[in-house]
Amino acid sequence: MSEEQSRRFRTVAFAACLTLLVGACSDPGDQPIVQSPDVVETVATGPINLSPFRYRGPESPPVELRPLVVEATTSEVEGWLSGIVSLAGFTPVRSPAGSFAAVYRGDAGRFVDCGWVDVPGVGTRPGATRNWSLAPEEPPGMTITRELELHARLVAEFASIDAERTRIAPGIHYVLVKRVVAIDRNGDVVVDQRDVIDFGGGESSRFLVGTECRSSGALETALFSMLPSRVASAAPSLATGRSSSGQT
Amino acid sequence: MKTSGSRWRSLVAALVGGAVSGVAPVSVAQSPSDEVAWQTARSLGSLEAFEQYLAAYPNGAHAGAAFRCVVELSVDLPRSPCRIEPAAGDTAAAVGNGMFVDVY
Repeated sequence: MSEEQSRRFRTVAFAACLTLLVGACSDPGDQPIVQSPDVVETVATGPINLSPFRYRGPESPPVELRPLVVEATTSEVEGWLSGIVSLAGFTPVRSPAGSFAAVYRGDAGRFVDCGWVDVPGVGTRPGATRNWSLAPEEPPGMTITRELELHARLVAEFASIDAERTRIAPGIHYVLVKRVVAIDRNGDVVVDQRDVIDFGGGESSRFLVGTECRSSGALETALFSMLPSRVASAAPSLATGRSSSGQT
Repeated sequence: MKTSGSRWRSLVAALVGGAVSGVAPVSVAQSPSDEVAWQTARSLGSLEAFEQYLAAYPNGAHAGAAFRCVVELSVDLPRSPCRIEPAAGDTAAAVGNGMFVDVY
């Protein structure tokens, strides 16, 4: 890689990292919610009486990564991937030669779009919010906590085309774990339920209650924008939106 | 006997990422060794087994399902289909006596 290419890469990488980190820190809750005609309402079942929630699913289409060719050696690609995913909070894990893998566990809001939830007594929150608590109308003294955790796994397989070009085949898989706990006035846990969904790039999935989640594209965009000059199609593409239902 | 030995090497290689001489796992979707490794991981039903499958086949045909199993087992999800033996976490499933809180 020439000095010029190296300098250009560092500039792009810095901008990409900035985009990723700023995006990760911004609070999407600042955005106003727009009530659409297809808003879904629901209420709690059983003896716990919740006011109606209002929910609006994600509007942006799922983002999918596609193979690309970059002007770099395989070792350079591996080094760059390692650097950018570390900045994004991922941890590289063991993988065979010719591939790179890293995992993430943490705040879902950084990389996933689960729409918007209007929570009674709490306000409008992104569906991917890490946690919130609320007190139902009945019975008094009860607290309900909802937690959401993202587990993501990035895999990129790469192969050398020639001395200066490398083909990369990337993919990301997302697993979301939602936990709802209800604690009564005596401090006893009366409800402890968990629901898990998973989806890949270009896909979306729904929790049992109906919350739909998909990649926000933040990670995919950052990954691709930091790679050096692209020879082939590279940008995250908008997929056709395969969808699957979640189950526990 | 030769077939049996070969199968054993394939299975071990699949789980340890090709450490056995002469057998190299290939990360090709739905390759025979990929399938063997996946079935082995399923039959073992442990966190380590699924992690080993992912290490050997990071982009394998069942990588997504394996990663979900890793997550479900690591968070001790009650009644996970990935698990062979009932877990201590299954007790938590009983909490609530059938109550279900409908929270988005």
